[in-house]
Amino acid sequence: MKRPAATAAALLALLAAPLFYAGCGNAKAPAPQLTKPTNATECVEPAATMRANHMNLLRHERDNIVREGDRSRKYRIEGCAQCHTKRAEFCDRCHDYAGVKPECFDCHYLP
Amino acid sequence: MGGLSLLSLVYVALSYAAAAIFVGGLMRKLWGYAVTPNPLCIPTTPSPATKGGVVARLALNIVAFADLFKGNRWTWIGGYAFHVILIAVTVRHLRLFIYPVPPLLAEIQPLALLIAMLLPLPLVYLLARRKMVDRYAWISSPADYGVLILILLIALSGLGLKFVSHSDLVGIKHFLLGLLMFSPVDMPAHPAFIIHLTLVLMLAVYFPYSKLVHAGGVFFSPTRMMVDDPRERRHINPWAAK
Repeated sequence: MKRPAATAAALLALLAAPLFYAGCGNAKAPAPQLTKPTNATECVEPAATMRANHMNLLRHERDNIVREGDRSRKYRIEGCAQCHTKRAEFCDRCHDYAGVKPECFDCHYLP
Repeated sequence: MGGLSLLSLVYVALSYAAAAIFVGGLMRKLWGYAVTPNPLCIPTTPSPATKGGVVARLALNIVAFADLFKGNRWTWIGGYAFHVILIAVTVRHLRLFIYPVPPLLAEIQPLALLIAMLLPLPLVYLLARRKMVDRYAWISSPADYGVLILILLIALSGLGLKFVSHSDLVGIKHFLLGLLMFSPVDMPAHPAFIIHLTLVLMLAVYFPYSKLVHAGGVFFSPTRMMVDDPRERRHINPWAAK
């Protein structure tokens, strides 16, 4: 190793790169801003459950409806749309934030 | 930092401490390797006779584990699979540390998930190899099993977060960005996430003092890094030259 100090500096810079990318203490951590519905104050389940598990609720419903024709279930994506009317101001905000691309909207048209 | 819950306060402190130990410890280790005197010309022959040749061999060693491939095919399969899957795991996690998420990174997530979820397989294979082949069991120390088990637990807790007990991903990303930007926010109090994070912090702290430093050590092995040209060029001991 010819120049250990220079190599060490380069390695440190590489390790610190995410910090510079993130803005390093200049600002607060960004969080998605959601437009909340005005026609209701509570979702079908508590907010914490919805935050963590809405995809599981909807996925199970999808299997029941598409494969078994069972439409008697509680959760439907059409139900979501009754309160969360603007996908771009609700669904997309968190999905974009976390780099998630749900396939719901491949079929379901939610403006 | 005023509004943080006790849990968050503890984990913010632990995270920064672990990061400092990881970076500081690793730099110290590598610095030690870098400044260790290298008095003799000791490449294992035959080795490339030019600098370019050594770089090419090192590159092949890093991307394909060529030496291990020649040495032991069965170990190579497990080790190589593990490291390739680790790349996919990194891709899966990178989106939680970068804001905004680059479109390409978001696009390859489903593919990366398919690969990343295989992580326990090579780990179990490597564990079985150590335990069941007599001559490996004989030379295996608790530390050898330890890192495998620790990484296996990290993998299982991570898969648990994805498939068994899903958590508030947005909350987790907010927490991680807060750490990165030195303006910490509350972490989601989700048991599986707490377990996963704790195990990862343990690995980060242990990393610089473990055999996992081979990630950096590969660049400092004299027998593999020196040019095999003692006849063409006289090797002069650096401190004898003064």
